[in-house]
Amino acid sequence: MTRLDDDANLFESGIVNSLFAVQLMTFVEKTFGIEVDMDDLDIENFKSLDATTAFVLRKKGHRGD
Amino acid sequence: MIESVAARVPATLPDTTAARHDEFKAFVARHVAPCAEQWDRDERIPESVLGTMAQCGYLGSILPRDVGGQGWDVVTFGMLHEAFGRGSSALTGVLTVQAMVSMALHKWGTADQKRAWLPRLASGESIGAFALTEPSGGSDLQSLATRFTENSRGLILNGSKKWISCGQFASVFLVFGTLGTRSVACVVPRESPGLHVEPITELLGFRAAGLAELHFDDVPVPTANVVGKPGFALSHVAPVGLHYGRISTACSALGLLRGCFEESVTYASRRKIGDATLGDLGMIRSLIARMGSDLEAGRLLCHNACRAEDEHVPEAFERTLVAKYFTSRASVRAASDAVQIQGAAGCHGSAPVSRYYRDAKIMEIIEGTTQIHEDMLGRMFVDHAGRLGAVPDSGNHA
Repeated sequence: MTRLDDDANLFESGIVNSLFAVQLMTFVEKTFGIEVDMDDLDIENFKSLDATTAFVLRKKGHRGD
Repeated sequence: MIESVAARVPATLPDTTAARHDEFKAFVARHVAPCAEQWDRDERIPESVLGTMAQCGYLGSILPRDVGGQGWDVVTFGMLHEAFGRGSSALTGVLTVQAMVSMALHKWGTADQKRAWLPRLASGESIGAFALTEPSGGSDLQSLATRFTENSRGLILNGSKKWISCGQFASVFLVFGTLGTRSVACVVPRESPGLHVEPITELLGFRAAGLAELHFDDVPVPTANVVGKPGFALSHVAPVGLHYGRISTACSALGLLRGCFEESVTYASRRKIGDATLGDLGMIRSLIARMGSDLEAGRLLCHNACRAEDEHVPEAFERTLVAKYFTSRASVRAASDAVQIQGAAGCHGSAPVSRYYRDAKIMEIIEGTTQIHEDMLGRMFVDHAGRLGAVPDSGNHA
């Protein structure tokens, strides 16, 4: 198994398929009870595990450190 | 016994959902099935039947009630499409693309776009069409040749789309193209200057679905009509529409499969061969057994896919691919066998199975070909095994 670093760019890594973006969006919405809408369409929000974590925390109203 | 297999719905369904399925089937038996052969010959669907469907809320079945839709769950949405698939694949195609455009707009549209378009789509006042496929390629989405350019007043659209279901009569198009290096999706009303619609006729199947080629010649598009954001049309906007398209097509193919089964068992039980019937022949029973088993399996796969979408879990995409892959292929097998069972009578245009035979093949091509599904599913299954380390070592590596 290949280990994925938390800051690795998911979309440049070649490990994701054409449905990954919407599957990730659905996972985030379902797991954290948030809604991803058109204002959230920014690759910086989803490009890595770190970026997605920060996005979820912002949507949930947590302050970034 | 025939009814127990053909009409079976999952036992866990609420009574209201099962009752709606009965309502849908009654609508199809009254308004669709008696006319489907004529629509196929005419290569058009009368406006009157679309109006009747709109009055029943079928064109906005999946949209929420606050925009005028029915707000039905996806399981009910699937049953609607299964029931219509039994009567006319071409008419079900209208429901398919209406849902594709509606749900892409519902998910990624701006507040103004939703206010402007969703109530009209929900009521059926507007019919939508999903303008993604191009003359030079269907499945290769990354090489879109349709171009948006910017000027001082907004966007200018140039290019062509082909094989667009409902293109002949849709009042609004969701058009995919590129803006520089970024993919873009835009709402383009039919009356836009520079948009020319060219009907496509003489199709193998889905003849009444109003397919068209669209030509965009310096079509002005307001920037406010961009759905989502530039750069996200292929990764986020199109997949939402295609996902609902696959749910619809999977269920529509299931309805066609049920049609093949019902037509076959009825014919086999009535057709006399001496003192016996066709259904007494083991070879015919084998064909019907395969059809009935595929029908049962397809029903469960479609139900699982729809339920996963209702639960809003990421697995919904994979389950939908599996359901569409299975029911489209099974419908082709079933339609071929249904014609075989009826012999010469099944080869005539008056026999529904001859239309099923032509329409079934289209199911294997729309919303991703069988080969695209195999490529995606094969990769997903291998990736799952790799991530989970779940492949048991048989010890046999010779």
